[in-house]
Amino acid sequence: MDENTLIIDSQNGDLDAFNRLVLAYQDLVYSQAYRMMGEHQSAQDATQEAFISAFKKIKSFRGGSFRAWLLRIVTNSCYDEYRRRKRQPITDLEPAIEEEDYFDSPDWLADTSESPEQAVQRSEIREAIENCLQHLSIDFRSIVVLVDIQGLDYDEAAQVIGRPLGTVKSRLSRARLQMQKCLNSFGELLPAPYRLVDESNYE
Amino acid sequence: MNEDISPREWESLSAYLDGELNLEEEKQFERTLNQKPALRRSLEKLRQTRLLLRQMPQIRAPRNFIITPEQAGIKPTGSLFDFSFTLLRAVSVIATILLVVVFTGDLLNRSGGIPSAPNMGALQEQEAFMLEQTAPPMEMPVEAAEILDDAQIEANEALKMETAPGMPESIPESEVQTQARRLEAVPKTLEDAEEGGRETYIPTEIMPVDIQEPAITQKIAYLQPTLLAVEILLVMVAVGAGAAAILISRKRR
Repeated sequence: MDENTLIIDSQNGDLDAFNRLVLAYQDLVYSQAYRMMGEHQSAQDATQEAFISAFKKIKSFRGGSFRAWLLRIVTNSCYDEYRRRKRQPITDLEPAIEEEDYFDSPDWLADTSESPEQAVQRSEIREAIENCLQHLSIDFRSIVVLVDIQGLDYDEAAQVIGRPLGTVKSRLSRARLQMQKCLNSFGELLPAPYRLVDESNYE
Repeated sequence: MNEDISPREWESLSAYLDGELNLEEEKQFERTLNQKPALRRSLEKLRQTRLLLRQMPQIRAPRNFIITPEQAGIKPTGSLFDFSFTLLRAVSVIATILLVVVFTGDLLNRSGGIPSAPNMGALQEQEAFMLEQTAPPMEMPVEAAEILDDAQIEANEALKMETAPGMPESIPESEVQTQARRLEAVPKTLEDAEEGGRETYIPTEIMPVDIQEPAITQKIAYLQPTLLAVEILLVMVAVGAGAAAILISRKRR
């Protein structure tokens, strides 16, 4: 069954059809939520809220990019969750499981061409990027994740954050500049192939 | 690093990298780019940064986020609970309405309000008329018997006189004979009255007719125990079904 049929069925109140869309998009939505929130529990809460909200609002979906429409809902859900956590900070009783997740990742197990050293390098880069992302403000973070990680174009990003195209250009350029500065501070830690090219090389 | 690059140039640099400048803006920016080596270096660094970001993988959802009907705000339809709840509620309402109707009717009957005034009046008038036309006072049969005896004696004497010679053939009927014949028509006993038909005699002493209690009231009075039983049954059904419906509703919540 194609996506349009599932969307139409969902608009007619078919929860099973909507849950198929959930299964198809949950990684995308969770990724967006995790990159914006920076930790798993908040990301899960925001993702669940986003899908519930999406089902309730799906009759208002008038075509176009369903992916962008979903990302808009999860982004708004993250803003809500972010504000809620800011008012009532929550400390997890369980330790962070990012490391464990990484080593249990099927993505890691499947890539047989990668040596352990390369995998470690890749892990360090990811950690550095995640760290730098969390140092951005939530407005900058959301736009960097949407355009540079999720691969949306400027129009779609403008649609998702509900701001004009000019705002997207401006926020993205400043966010990238901050990311670049942050990653430079990790320069020595990053493996050589990924190390940012020094300015002197161009002189 | 970027001290010689203005925020405007930096914005154009970012948009240029993403191919988001229009043709004219793009040509203009490329001219600037050729004139400013620092801008070219920044472009390359930005390209590297973007490459790193684009290599970030999609994170797998740690669990499924499929939503349940409760989360979606959908009430399960057609369940046994719903059907039972609706049925019990309907039974309770119908039983209550029937109880009100039966009880009100019973109450009106007890206070004598059921037969309508015009019908009651007509019935009473009809019965009074029948009594007036047919029923003499109860002591009349005793007197009538005495008068009849006297009249028969007089009649016998008249008959003897009639057979006597010299008397005219037709003698006009005396007043006493007329009275005697009329009284003969009056039955002396209940059996006589029954043989003679109810139209001619109504023994008010033996079988009194109570004109204050019409037949319809008597029938309803006869049904009083049945009505009471129906009322009790309806109360039980209404309360029982209502209570069961409330229990089901609470259990579902």
